[in-house]
Amino acid sequence: MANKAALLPVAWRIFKRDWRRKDLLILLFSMVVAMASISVIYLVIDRIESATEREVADVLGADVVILSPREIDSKWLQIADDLNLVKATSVEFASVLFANEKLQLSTIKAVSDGYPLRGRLEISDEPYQETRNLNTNPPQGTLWLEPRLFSVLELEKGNLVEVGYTDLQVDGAIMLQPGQGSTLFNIAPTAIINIDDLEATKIIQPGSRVNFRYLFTGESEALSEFIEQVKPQLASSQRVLTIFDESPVAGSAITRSKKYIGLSSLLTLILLGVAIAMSAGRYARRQFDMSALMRCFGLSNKQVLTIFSYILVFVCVFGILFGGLVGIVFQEFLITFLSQWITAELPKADYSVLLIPTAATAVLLMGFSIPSLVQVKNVPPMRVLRRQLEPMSVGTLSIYLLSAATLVLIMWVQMQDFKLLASVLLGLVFVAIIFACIARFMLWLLKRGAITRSAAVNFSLRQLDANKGITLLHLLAFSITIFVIALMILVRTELLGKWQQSLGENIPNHFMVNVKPNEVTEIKSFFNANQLEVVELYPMIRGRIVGINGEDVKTAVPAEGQSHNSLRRELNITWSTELPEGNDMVSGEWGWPENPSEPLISIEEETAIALGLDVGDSIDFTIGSESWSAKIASVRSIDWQTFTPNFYIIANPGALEQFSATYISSFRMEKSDKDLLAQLVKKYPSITVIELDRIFEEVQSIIAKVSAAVELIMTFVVAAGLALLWAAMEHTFDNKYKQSAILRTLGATKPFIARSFRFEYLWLALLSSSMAVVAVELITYLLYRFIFEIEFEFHFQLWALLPASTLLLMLIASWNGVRRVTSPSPMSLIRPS
Amino acid sequence: MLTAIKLGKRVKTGESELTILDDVSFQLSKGKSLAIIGESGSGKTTLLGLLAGLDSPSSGEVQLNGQSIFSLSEEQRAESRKENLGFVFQSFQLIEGLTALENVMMPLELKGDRKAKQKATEMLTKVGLGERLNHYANQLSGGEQQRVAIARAFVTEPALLLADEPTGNLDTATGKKIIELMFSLNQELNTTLVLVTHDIHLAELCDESITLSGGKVIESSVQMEQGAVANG
Ligand SMILES: Nc1ncnc2c1ncn2[C@@H]1O[C@H](COP(=O)(O)OP(=O)(O)O)[C@@H](O)[C@H]1O
Ligand SMILES: [Mg+2]
Repeated sequence: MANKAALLPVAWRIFKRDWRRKDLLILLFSMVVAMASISVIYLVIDRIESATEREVADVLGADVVILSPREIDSKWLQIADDLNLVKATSVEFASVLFANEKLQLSTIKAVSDGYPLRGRLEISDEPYQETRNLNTNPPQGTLWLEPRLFSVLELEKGNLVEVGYTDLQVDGAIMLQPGQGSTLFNIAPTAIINIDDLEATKIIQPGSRVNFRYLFTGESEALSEFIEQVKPQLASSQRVLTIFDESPVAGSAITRSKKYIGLSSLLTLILLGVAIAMSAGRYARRQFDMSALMRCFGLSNKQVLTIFSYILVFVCVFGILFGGLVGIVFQEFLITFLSQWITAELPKADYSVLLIPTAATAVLLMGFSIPSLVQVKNVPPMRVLRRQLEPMSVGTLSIYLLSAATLVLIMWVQMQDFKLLASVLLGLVFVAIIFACIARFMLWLLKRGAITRSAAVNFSLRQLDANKGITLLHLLAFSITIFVIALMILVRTELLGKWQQSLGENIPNHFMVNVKPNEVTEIKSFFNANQLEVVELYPMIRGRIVGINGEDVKTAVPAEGQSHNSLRRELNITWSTELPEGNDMVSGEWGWPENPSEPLISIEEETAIALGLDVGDSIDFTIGSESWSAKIASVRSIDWQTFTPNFYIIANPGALEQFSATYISSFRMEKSDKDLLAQLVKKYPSITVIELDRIFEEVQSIIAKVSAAVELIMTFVVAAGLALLWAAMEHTFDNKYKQSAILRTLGATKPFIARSFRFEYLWLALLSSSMAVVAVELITYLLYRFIFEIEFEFHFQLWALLPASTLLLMLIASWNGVRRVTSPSPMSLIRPS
Repeated sequence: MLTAIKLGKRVKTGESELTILDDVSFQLSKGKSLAIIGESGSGKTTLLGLLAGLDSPSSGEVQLNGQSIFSLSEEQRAESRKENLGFVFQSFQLIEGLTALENVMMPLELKGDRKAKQKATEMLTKVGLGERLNHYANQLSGGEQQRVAIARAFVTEPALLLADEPTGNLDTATGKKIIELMFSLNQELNTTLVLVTHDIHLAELCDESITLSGGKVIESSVQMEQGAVANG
């Protein structure tokens, strides 16, 4: 009795045979790529992502922060405790510090034990000296000060500073603190004290303006749970900050890389699915004889199905083993080689996550090879007597739907982004339809071109047209694959390029604020003398919006705008004749009339939208203690990713004459020139220099990581594309074999046949790559515009590069194949083996 | 042992219906050999397919050991093939990429036979290929390939062996040797043999013969006894 176990050795024998015959190579390769790519996502990319997110958290000082003007409900802290979150508090307020009979208004942060929960707090004994990295609050009775306070108050370490009703001893200078990037424009320098000294200062009285920052870290599920519970209970004056609200550069790098990775893994799986379906179909066709023979030996079609299912299982097991291995190798590689430039430690690898890729890979194989499997099972046994008999085509829509459903299921599990999934699938179908139409037209054109002097050329052109259906299929397979590969390489290059640019060579890496008007010329000459380039010095005035068109903001602004940032704090106002770099006009035109009758301003777009403002409206500000009104003349958008001073409000020169401004600028300074900073600050004690380069280091490390993730995933898209190209290539050989034998009997020479076949590949390559180029341009335009939000430009280099490389690839790939199919003697027709 | 009763096969081709086989009846007892003779296109292969239960008839039936095979389910028919039938084909149908030995072992393994290797080796030795066990199909000549195929057919000791023009792809001398081999094994194992051929000389070696033309029996030495039909 042939029970299922008895069939196993037979299946194993056939598997070994097909392995030797390289029939299963593409299938196996596709499986390895599938398994490897999904494993890498789980083993490596997920870890890179969480590491980068943690690094952004470093900038925030925590994973989640609750901002509140008063102490928050203790219930919330209880929730945090229940969720095992780690907490710290920072109470922030403005107060005057006294020392050496001098005073300075400062921002005081009274921080609790454990502050900051994430990120670095760098303290040095004296300003701009060597720093130590701390993760705690200053000892009780001491405080840390920003460098500017050292010069203004003429302090040294160990001096006493009067803070409210108590004296605290200077313990060090704050060189880097979490969130330094976002506190850029705080005019008042920061001092950090221990929260236990807060009461003694007696500064906080009922009614004082205080900001409470509650910092939390913990497991990501616990954090989301926490946010979910707390968010609905927030008062309008309270806010929850997460990592994406902070560092815009890193935040957008992470979001974009996530989108890229999602898109890539989706395309990888689609390409692999098609490659698997194609090579499984080819494999099945080569098994028809075997299947019929086994039926003669007395196997039922169920048993035949069992045998071929076993073979698939073998393929699956090997694919998963090899692919998993590749994933693990990548992961080890990452640990040993990349760890040098990835500063924050990666979370530990957890090999149990390999279960998910294993399941997904198995489902992918089964889903896409079942139609072929069913065909093998349905081979009529009469085929042993009549070769031409083929299984009835599995005209079962349901089976193809099954494959499609498989794909969607895997995607769904993997990315849970239905919008992206749907748009990519629809996009591909759309591209396929367009391609099919263009290809038909091109074939028609080519056929008309079959009047050249070369018989091989004419023959190849006629051949393409004669097998229209198959040619179309191959054209589609090639062009879509080339399209996907080109697209993903291109997007990657541009993403990486943009990121590099935002951290580029000549980007300013220091800010200088609080420059007095009478210091402007001197500072310019200081920079010139030291051969440092200083960007424009912008005057800056800070004002609060209090009214719109004469009406109080509280009533003039719609409810959803009430909580907008621009109403919570003072805005930076400047005046300028030039439109600053990175600014684009949205409505109205840039420029000022001469001597306008009233002050005119240009406002930042998002603020305008949030407050429901447009050109022609007027805004009432409070500047200092005075009021000032201006009319909106234009609306601008600002690229927040440039590290140059950005202003919400720009007024016409002269409009703010009555107010005294301070000046702000950004400049680039290399590490080796840092000594100059100390000089500068000594000479102009009121100036604050913000060392963005320290923040850049963090952003750079984040970008290095997301870039690595993007590179890694792109490798797999390319590998998947190659798998599909390979499968399609093999497919083209199938009927060439017989064709070649027939041609030989008709007297064609081997070189002639080989040449005409190579011409066919030439046409295929040129046609498919040029269609791919058109599609790439179209889709990148859409992608850049709507998903990645970067600017579109034509990629002229592609127009030559893509056809050339496709041609090269195809000729190389087909070289051996063409030799193989032209080699058999015409005898093979007469005497089937 | 093998009985065909009013076998007919019609296929639809577009609008019209084509009769490939019409009212074929015969009876063959155990250990005998039958030649099915006829020109190309006369319906020989079709008849053989029906006798093997590989295809189903439009009318009539086939009995093997008194059991009507088309009353069986597809699965039971497969089981019956496994137990009773062996095949030899014009185009050999060796499995490419497997050695001679592996080819012969295949039907035994499918039956779950533990002594597959031993039996296959013996049978290959018997057909004179003891030295070529590990050669692949494409390393053998046509005659050798067909001998492997015969070894494969006889190794399960089938009660009924069906051969469709087994010498059709071979030269006359080799063909003769192949037929002799088949007959000697037939005798040794007491197998019932059905041989399709268009070669009259080969047909003469068989105990019985049927001649087909245009799907009809035009000459037969195995005329059905009336009683057998009634009992069938
Ligand atoms: N499935 C089929 N559909 C249509 N015609 C068929 C089919 N099978 C066989 N025939 C026709 O039936 C006739 C008999 O075929 P066959 O049994 O192969 O003859 P032989 O083996 O004697 O050469 C031929 O004319 C063949 O074309
Ligand atoms: Mg025939």
